[in-house]
Amino acid sequence: MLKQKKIYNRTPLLFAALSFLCIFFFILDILFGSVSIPLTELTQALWGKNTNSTFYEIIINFRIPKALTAMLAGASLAVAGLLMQTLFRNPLAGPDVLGVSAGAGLGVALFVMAGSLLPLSISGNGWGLVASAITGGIGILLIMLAVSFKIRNSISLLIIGIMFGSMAGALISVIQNYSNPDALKLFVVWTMGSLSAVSWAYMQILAPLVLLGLLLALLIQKQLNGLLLGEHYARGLGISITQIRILIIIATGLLAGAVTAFTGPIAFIGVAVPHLARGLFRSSNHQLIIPASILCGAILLLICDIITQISIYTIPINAISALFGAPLIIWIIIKKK
Amino acid sequence: MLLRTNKLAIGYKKTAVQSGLNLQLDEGELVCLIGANGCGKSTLLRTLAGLQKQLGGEILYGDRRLELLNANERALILSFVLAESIEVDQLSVFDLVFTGRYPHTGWLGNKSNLDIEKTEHAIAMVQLSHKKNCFINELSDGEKQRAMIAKALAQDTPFVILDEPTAHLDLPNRAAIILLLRKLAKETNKAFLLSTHDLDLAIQSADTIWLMVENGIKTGQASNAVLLENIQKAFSSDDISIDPKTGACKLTR
Repeated sequence: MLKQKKIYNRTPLLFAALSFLCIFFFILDILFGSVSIPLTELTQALWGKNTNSTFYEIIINFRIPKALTAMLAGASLAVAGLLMQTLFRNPLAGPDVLGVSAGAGLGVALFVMAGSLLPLSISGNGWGLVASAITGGIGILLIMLAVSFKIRNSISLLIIGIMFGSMAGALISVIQNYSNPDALKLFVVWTMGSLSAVSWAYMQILAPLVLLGLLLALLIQKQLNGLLLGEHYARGLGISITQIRILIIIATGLLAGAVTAFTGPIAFIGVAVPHLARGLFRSSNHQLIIPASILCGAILLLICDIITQISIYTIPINAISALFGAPLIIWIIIKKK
Repeated sequence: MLLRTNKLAIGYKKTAVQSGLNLQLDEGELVCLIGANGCGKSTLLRTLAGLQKQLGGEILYGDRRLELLNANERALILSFVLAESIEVDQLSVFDLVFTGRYPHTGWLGNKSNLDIEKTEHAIAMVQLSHKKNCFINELSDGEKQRAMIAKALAQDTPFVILDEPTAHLDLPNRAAIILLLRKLAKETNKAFLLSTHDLDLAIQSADTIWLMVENGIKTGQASNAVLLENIQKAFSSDDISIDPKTGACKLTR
């Protein structure tokens, strides 16, 4: 009885705490940076009062889009990781491990660098960048899906995913070799991952795609819970496996593809956050874990972004998320043994 | 409702494991499917559960053919417990058993009071109420098996198919599971079909025995002398002899 009470009282409290932390770090992320911003300036800017100061410019056109991007990217990578873990029934699955990020990278590489060889100047086009990253990400996922119909063993599937990732990486190297320096630089900067590349104009593309992906994930939570028990049991519960697999792939492609397109590959958030969410809420029920992953992912990437600002030279977000995420995963695996 | 098969052929790809099966399963009945390893017990159960296609003949649930039912209609008619165990972390018994309610819920799977009540009731029927908030990977094998049975009960289908529910269990737990299924068959008036290697338990508890041999299935009541003789013939070898009355086996030295 005691245990039951503990579990049911915990949930709303945890959600409240996580929401508070999310807002707290959102504000902190806006205030911190190469230029520290006084809180009064922020409150004024948020009330829509244009003080015409430099601070106002920084807040509205730089810090808020960046903090929003951190939240969107953290949330969507976390949910994409959760979807992958449920689909492949493997705790180490994630958009980066299974080659989605590598596929997106290949798409961007082809677009930015191979595109620069063409007479048409399309490389600066935001839509083209997103489309190529999403296409690359979904492409790898489709290959993985096709393989998953043949190979049931999830460890083998994981290894194949990593191999596809390496192949994509090798292809990228080949392309890099033949591309012009400007395009190469554009691509290398993209791979380091950056949250500040998203302007308000790009936000109009990123936010709807991410929200659509999150909505889709929330709508299929019942089927996801069924999949936890394995394909046979899921079918026995009246769930169409083909349909749910396709929906998961679309959602993951939207979430991981769109985010990777704009921010570059951000490692480990996708693998680590679902475990964090499950551990906190002591549940695998997607009804809880999807919203929990959204909040935890947003918080974690906001924290990562704040850390990147500590040094004078901005550290790539990809490095920080790996420094955070990798030990978290090691800890999870050791704890399980 | 009645489950009937008509000249059913089962197997993989083009190789038939069994063919010409005419079987019948009625409400409230506990049927034990016995037979040597590799004779096609699991294949039959998986085929009846709709997890793999039959090679020929038909399977009728009531007057409806299995292959013409959609996924959800099927989930309202039959539930199953497979031989493979599930490996999920942080999944409570309640959440597991509640998945059985999915065919009855809407797209989002929101819990109605009736669903919660049926889930609790199913957990109570397998005597796991005290563990309903435990994670399933904290349960013993016997408790895990009971939780899976509760999931099938929560699904509230007229037919429940179980593939070797007593494998991996110690003797008291095997007996407990079979007696539980027998009790549930009488109380819920559902049909339970299970495969097992526990001849003695099967003979002592089942209403009907399906004995699968190389070329077909012999069916009969557990007290049927001809059937018992067939069981003795099917399982006796140089190493063991089977007592035809109880199914107990004895090593021949």
